[in-house]
Amino acid sequence: MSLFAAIITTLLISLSGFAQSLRVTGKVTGSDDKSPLPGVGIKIKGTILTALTNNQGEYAITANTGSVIVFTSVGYEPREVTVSGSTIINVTLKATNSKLEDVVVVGYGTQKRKDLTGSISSISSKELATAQATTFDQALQGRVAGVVVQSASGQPGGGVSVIVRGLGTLLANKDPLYVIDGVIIPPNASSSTGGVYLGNNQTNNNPLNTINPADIESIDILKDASAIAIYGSQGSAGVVVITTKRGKIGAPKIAFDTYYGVQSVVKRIPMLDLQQYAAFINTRTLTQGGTIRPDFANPQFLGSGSDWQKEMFKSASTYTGNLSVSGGDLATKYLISGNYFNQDGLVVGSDFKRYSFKLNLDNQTTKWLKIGNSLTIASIKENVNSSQYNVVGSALGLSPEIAVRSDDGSITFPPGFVGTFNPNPIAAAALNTNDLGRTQIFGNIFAELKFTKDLVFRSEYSQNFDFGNVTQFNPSLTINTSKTQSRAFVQASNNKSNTLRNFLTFNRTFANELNLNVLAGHEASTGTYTYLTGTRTGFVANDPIGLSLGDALTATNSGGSNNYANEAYFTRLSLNYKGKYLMTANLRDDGNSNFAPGNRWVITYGFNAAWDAAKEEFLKDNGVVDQLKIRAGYGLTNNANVPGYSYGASVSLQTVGLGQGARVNNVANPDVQWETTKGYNLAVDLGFLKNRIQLTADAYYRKTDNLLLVAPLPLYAGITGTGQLNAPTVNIGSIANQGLELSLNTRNIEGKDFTWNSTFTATIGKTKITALNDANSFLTGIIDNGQISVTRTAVNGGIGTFYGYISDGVYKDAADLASSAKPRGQTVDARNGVWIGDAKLKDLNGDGFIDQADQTYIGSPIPKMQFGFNNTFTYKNFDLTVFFNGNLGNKILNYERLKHTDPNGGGNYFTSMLDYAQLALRDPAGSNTDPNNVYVVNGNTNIPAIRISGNPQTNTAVSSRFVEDGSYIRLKNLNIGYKIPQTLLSKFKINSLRAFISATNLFTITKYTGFDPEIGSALPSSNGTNSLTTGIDWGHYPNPRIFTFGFNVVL
Amino acid sequence: MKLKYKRFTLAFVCAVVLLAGCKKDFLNKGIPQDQLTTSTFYTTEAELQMATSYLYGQPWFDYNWPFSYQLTEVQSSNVVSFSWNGGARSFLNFAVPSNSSDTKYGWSSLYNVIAHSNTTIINVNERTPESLGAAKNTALGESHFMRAMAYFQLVQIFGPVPIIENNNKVAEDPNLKPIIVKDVYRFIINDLNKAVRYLPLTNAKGHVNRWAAKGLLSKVYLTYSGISGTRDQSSLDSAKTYALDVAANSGLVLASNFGDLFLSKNNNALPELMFGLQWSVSAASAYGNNDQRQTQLEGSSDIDDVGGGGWGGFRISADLAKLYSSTDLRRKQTFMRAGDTYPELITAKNPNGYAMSDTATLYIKKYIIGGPLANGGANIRPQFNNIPTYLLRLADIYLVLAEATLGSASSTSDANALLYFNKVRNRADPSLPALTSLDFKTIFTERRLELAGENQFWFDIKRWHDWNPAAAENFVTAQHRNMASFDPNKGIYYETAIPNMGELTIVTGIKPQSWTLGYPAADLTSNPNLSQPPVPYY
Repeated sequence: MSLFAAIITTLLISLSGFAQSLRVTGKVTGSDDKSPLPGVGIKIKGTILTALTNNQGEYAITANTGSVIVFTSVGYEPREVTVSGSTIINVTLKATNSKLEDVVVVGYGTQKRKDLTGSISSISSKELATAQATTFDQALQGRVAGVVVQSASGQPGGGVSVIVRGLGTLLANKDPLYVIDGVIIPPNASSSTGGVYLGNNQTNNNPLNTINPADIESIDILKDASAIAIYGSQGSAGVVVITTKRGKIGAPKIAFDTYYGVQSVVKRIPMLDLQQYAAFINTRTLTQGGTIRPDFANPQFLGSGSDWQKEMFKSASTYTGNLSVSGGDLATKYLISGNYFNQDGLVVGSDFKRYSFKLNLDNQTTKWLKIGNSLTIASIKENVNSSQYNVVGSALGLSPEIAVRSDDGSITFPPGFVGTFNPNPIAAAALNTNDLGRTQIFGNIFAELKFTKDLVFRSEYSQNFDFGNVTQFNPSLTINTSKTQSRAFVQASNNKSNTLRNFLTFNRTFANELNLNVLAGHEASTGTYTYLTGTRTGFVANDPIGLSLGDALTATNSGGSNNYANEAYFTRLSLNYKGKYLMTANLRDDGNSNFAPGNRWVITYGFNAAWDAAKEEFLKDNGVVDQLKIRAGYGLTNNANVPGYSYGASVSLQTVGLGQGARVNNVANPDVQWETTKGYNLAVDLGFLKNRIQLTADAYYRKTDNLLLVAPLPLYAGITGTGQLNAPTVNIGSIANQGLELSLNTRNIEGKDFTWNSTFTATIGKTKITALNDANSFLTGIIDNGQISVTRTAVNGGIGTFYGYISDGVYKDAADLASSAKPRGQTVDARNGVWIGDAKLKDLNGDGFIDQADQTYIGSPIPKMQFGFNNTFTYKNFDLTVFFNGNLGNKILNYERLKHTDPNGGGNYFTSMLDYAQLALRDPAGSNTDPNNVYVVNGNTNIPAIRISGNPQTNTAVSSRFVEDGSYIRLKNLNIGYKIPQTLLSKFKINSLRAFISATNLFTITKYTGFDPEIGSALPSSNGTNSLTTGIDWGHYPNPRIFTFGFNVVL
Repeated sequence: MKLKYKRFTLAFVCAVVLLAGCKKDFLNKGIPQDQLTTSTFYTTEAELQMATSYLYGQPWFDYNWPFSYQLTEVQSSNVVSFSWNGGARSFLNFAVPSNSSDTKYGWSSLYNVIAHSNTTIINVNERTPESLGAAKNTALGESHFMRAMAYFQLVQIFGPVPIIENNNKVAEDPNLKPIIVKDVYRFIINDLNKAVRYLPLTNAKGHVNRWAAKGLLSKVYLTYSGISGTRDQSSLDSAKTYALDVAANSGLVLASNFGDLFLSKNNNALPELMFGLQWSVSAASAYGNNDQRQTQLEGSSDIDDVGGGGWGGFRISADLAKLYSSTDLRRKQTFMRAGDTYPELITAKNPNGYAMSDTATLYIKKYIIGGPLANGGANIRPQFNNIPTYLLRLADIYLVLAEATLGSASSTSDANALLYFNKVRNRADPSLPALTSLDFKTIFTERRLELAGENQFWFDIKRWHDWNPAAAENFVTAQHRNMASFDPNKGIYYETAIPNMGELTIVTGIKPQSWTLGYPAADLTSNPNLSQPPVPYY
């Protein structure tokens, strides 16, 4: 492409006048890497003469001697050069790095960062590129102050939890509002495949995984109440505005980015091998008076048995290729791109593929009309077997004596299990089909009418079509002696939404001092979700698996649809006096169909003011402080994040034993209301030493009232198990969030060949429940199909704080047993009561018994601080990015350890279990059921002993024993790149070529003993689907370590 | 000028569009299109019947299996299981932990039945037009019956329990205290009195009628009579009155053959069934409307040959097996022993029916109905079989009549008691002469033989324990909680220890508190009020 002659665009008029007219040419380069800058705007000051540089940075313009040429380009300081007579003017533009000139999306408009009054964080495409994330939300982690990001699962394309300024809601959908090129993805919108059952270890199906991170130009995160207010009801948990790349004026640019990577598991948990297992089982059998299994008689002759971790983790590859063509002239700008992404899962039965295409157009049709569009077509395919069968959790529990495969390599099934995969999840993942496919088409068309110089009307229509296909197939297999029946389930769904928004913007600067910007508009959205499902059994063969090939007599189907609507009127007023005094006020009236007719409309508002002291006379030209901006704001936002029709009760029909039956699905709450949040923000933006040091610090306080929650009720409310009545959604209390967020950008070294920039972000937040409907009440987080309560959320406490007993070692001997509190109702008895070697719990209330009243708070899953530290180094043509992130001060409930370190439990064990309490007899000839004759040899252990029979629940009670420090520091990304020198490239007609190698999750410093301390909010069970059960390691799919190699080439 | 004018018009039009907004009904969305809503339901006879039909299945699912079977059959030692079934083993030895998933499922399932009954009662009262008259009453009667049945199970299993009449109110004030046993019974009796008043004498197939309500009332009074520690005569009298009313006036009769009761072709066709949980084998039925018992209980997956089964490892105990006389026709319908052939249990592999050949253990027969070929082509498959779970049948009421008539006396020769008792006994064994006098042990044993495997026996032992704790406890501790092998040649049972369980089958775990189960741990933790002493309801 560089063969093309320089394309020079000169517009409108050729000058007439008496000054000498010159044709000036030259080349514009950037100060940062000396590379030519295409698309630099060139203008003769005081005229409308303009030109642009071509791909080689070359330009030509007609000018007069003495006139001033202004060079402008985003990301560089503008430069003015006076024409003196020379016809060749080469210019180097200095990279600003200050970010103050960056354009930030504020909702229905943009502002320069230096003029912001609200709290908005931004991420550029450059930062996204180094993160190499599967989905863009992963890339936010540690890069945005005030936003806590945790991946819910390491499954490729899996869910990511993004929490802006602390949890302000207890409902499952606490994510921010995503607005992608004007397409609204509301926080409670599931994707078209969202409702599909994904097994006990349900991963959030990520509705954003169709979006190719490489297509994104910038991400702006609106954090404070006032900034959010313009988005009204849907944005109360923050707003993430995503702008995709668009064409720029200049010659066609063809870019190809690609990388290939290899993923591996970072850590394995030591578990018993077959010899250890057999030896342990022998010991236990003898203790319990049984006879040793003949096959275990000589453990030393056994092999090592099945290593289930080896079976479930695999080395997996990842690949992406992204090709884009972009360019444009003053009339039309275009960008076309195509992407392929493929990531194999680390765990068997998981992978992710994405194909996407993009077309963005902008056209200046007439002087007063501008039209354009954004369009993305994406298709993904995910294999979710690993989640469906909870491969990680299930495989950890399997004993090494169970063979995964037979000698010929085929997968086997444990003897005794007839007609069921249990318990071989590797087989289940390998042989069954669980595919989610989605095809999403989303985008907008817009027209902008310029009525006058100041008054612009914009009309935007956006549409999102999301088609989902779920295919599940269980083949017919002979498992041991019995044949299973083949079965297919398919779901086709169609999730459509559209938004029409119209708004007027009036923007005028009075006397070069006061800028007034007024916005007023209307927005209406509707969405419809339609689905159709079918099942059949008894397939002719196991391949192909089309539904029609099953036995028609077994066919079942279901289907239906749901819809919603939102409507809003909004207005905003911004004032800017000399960039010194700034003010923004927002008002929005929102209507939402989720509420009963009388409760549908609500007012949202926000107010922000800012003062930049550095622009005052007394600080002018001080040479040290470049910016000293103080911002303050207050706003009230409302959240409609409640399932539709919660105000009524629905009735579903089903086939029952007596024919057609009608089931009431839920308890209605006709009074369900908006959740309201009052937010205060106080912030300072500082720039020092020519903005080489820039600091933004925000302090916030948010109080949410009328907290919405699916009422966490006791079992006797009839709300769990099969045939339950779903609990109502209620407004149950208040939450306060306060926090401090810091973002520090420094340009540490700016040498000729060597530069070093760093960014440090930190989020320190605290969440407190300030009220519940009853001051003494509390909410309980329950996991394991409603059996195990693990957290408590009470007034003055945090959200989902672990709640259980304090571990106090084991009962060491008769004296210890006699003097310590025992479980209520238990007598000292080796067979059926409490016994020496049992886990001892602290009697907190001192009543002499261990019972529910002795439970207490044993740690919070919410990090006290999340941080990121990014360093970018360049040396000549080399660049290096080193990005650390981490969590500090959170706890993890290691539920896997609870399950696998009980010597009286089943399945396999962590090797740490072998430190169980060893019982010995004082008189070897005496009785082992006489307490006075038994003692614990290793008295300092806290793992209970092998029992003769029985197993008091205290041995496996949720206690401080299983709560671990979840803090970690991780080298998240390391990226080394090399730009091939221009001189070399020009021979091959290549504009630029950069090759890189990169490593993700290279190392992690943590005390946590599980696979991965990044647990997030993986949802352990059907009961754990809300904020009350986070930070619980339940067969969590760990994040992989990835090494990649790739290159970016521009023709 | 012209351009400016045009733009002005355009601006005006845009402003109008902006201000006008959407039509008023734009936001009238969000009402589900794949479901109905309670605000428009309950207005036709068909809708009322759909509402009540639901109450017989899905809400009971978690109670039906495995909780209720393990509690009533395993804890009572009619049935034992292999040691690897830890859940069943804990019931066998009175060692059910409070975090037992079985208990949790049983408890929440019964409260699910209550929740749906409450909702139906409230909605029918509020929304069904009076013009539906009889149909409205029937729906109310069935819901009250269903709620009474669920509370009756709860109070027998757990003792004092929270009472919920309106699930919207529980959502507002969830931390309830348990209600004293006496008041739970009063609540049950109130519900049943309403059911008697509302229910018709006959009802749709499978749906309860007035006689079922009266029958249950007799049983509730009988149980209630002993809760104070001695048998209360007025309650016994009520039990007797209602039972005799059913026996003498209902027109219901016993099935002529005991075995007919457990054939799927007779589902809901025999008048002896008064109330049963109803299950579906339809390919279209939703999860929870299926009955897993055959799949779990069968001794061999060859019996139904639908792919897998027998996972629970349940076998008949030596204790029960030895109790049946050689001529008792119920024996073969209750369990299989080596040498038995069941011509009706046809499969592709066994065209002449299933022949039991395993001499090592005794297989369960009751509720084992075989595969599609044995059931007229019904869509029987793993975890799907279609015979109702009998919770109330006429023979049960006949035996209630005998027990209520006997009361605290050591024996009775009451004519009615003898008449109906002998009907049950005679059907089982026509060779036996009619009895002329009944004592407690006779009635108690007859109930066990008749109703083994039908979710009753533990409640019989418990009812006995209420007024004679020492005798009941002695009975339990003397039981042989072991499996039995059978020698078909000699016709002798040999008691065999359950593999890997050794001496554990000797009951060591029974304690005074074993007679009721503890509340599920999850509720104890979330609601401290549940650990408080029970309070009166009235």
